[in-house]
Amino acid sequence: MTLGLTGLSLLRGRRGVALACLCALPLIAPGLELIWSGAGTKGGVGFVELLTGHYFPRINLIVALFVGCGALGEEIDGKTLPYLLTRPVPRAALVIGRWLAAIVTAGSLLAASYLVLYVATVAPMGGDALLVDLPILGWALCGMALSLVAYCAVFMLLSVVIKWPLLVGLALLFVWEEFAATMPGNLARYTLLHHVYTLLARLSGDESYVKLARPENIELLPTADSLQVLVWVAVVALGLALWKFRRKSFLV
Amino acid sequence: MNGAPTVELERVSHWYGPVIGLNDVSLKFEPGVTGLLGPNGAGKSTLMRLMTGQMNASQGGVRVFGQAPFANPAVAGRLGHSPEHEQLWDHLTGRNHLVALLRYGGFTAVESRERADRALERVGMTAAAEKRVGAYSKGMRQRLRIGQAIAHDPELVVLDEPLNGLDPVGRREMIDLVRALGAGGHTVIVSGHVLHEVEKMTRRIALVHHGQVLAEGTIDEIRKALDKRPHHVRVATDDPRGLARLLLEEPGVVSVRVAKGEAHFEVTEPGAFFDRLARVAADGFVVVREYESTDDNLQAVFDYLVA
Repeated sequence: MTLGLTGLSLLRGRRGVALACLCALPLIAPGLELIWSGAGTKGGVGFVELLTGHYFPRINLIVALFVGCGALGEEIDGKTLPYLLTRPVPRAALVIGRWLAAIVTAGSLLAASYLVLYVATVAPMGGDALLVDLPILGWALCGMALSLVAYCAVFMLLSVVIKWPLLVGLALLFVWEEFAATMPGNLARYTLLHHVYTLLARLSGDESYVKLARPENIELLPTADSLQVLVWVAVVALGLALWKFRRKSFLV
Repeated sequence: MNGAPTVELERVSHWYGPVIGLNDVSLKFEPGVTGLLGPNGAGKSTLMRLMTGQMNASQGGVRVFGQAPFANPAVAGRLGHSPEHEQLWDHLTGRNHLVALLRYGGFTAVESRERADRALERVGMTAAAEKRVGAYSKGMRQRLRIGQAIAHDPELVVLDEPLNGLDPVGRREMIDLVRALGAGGHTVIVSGHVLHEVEKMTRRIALVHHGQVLAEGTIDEIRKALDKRPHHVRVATDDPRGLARLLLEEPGVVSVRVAKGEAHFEVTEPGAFFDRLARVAADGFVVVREYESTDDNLQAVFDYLVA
């Protein structure tokens, strides 16, 4: 029920169209190339390039931001929260349900984009390539799912505790995550994206991910460490969101 | 219920930052319909949010079915609330809106659909059940809000300004629905500021103003409690000055104001005053065409209390 209600709600109207367009944006270039020249852009390599150039550092985060903030925030801003708060549902269940719904909603939208992108970039290399490069798609989907688990929890926390979660979320993504990633030393390790890249590098072994996971040639973290960071960030953010949501008096 | 009130507020205060929303309010609500009356910003919606568990009181105790209602699913399952604002999930149809909320309430899909249809019928929305809520008029949205509050047949129904946005026919229907719920043993709490409409739903009221309860009880009880305070009596007569002269010295007459063809008295003992007035008229000293206590209705009580 939560998924149906939230998913429909989060992907409807102008926001849904805007997010769908955003997800489709990187598909334009390989799509046009496919139509005009009949050749894909470097097969699996091109697929990963587009993922690391557009999806992981930008599009995934924006989708997670809008969907994560909207999962509960939309009920608060839209003044429909009283209908939920006066149902025999524990507030914790509402938070967790909405978080899961946000992951599934954002994940579905992004997964559909990845699939189209994969076909557009790999299919021109031949039917076999679609099967051979399938693990690349699989790891990309895993990385995306893991990043959504953490980011959606963080953005849900923002929507529960502050009044302008989108602004703070944008600052977090495009000031902190970008700034820290370009700083010398180990500062990049304090960003979530670094751990997503580390996991993808470790699991897939793809050079593009390895380069991104080792800015300034810092040592590549073990898989377990990065996984723990993502899980702990999700658990702590979700825990704080739960704690706050259960105690908060809502004036809507 | 074991005779215990459905809702009990004991010395409840609530602040919105530096602004006081409720100040030391103690109230009890029992089965039947109770009206919460007061102007906008009086604290009615705050009271309703507290008793429906959306907010926690800054001070004092709120008990619903003997339990603290804040974030308490056990209480939430037994109450229905229709908020004042008209926001709903616009992308759903009316039926799906109710079904969604019933599913949140733990009902199966089939049961939810049956209950939703019954509730839609009770609020006169069956014909619009498949229409998107976004296309609903203000009155239809109000009906749907009331529908979702009663669809799960709760013991406590809290309706914030339930007649807002409704046309006269709709108002009549909702007044009848509220009365039927009260007669059926539900505890119904309705707020409003259109006094004669609340009066049509119930004789039991609580007057709220500036976050305080000014009076509570039946309208008659409140009037009796106010008997020691001046009542306003208008007497239509050919000789208002003569009547004023005759009655001014009577015990309990606080003041008199003379207008064209009328004398307005303020009296603290209305019974004795009306007896004396009848004697004066019977003795033929003046001709009394008609008289009325202008503050017998709820509006006058309210005006008097908040003045």
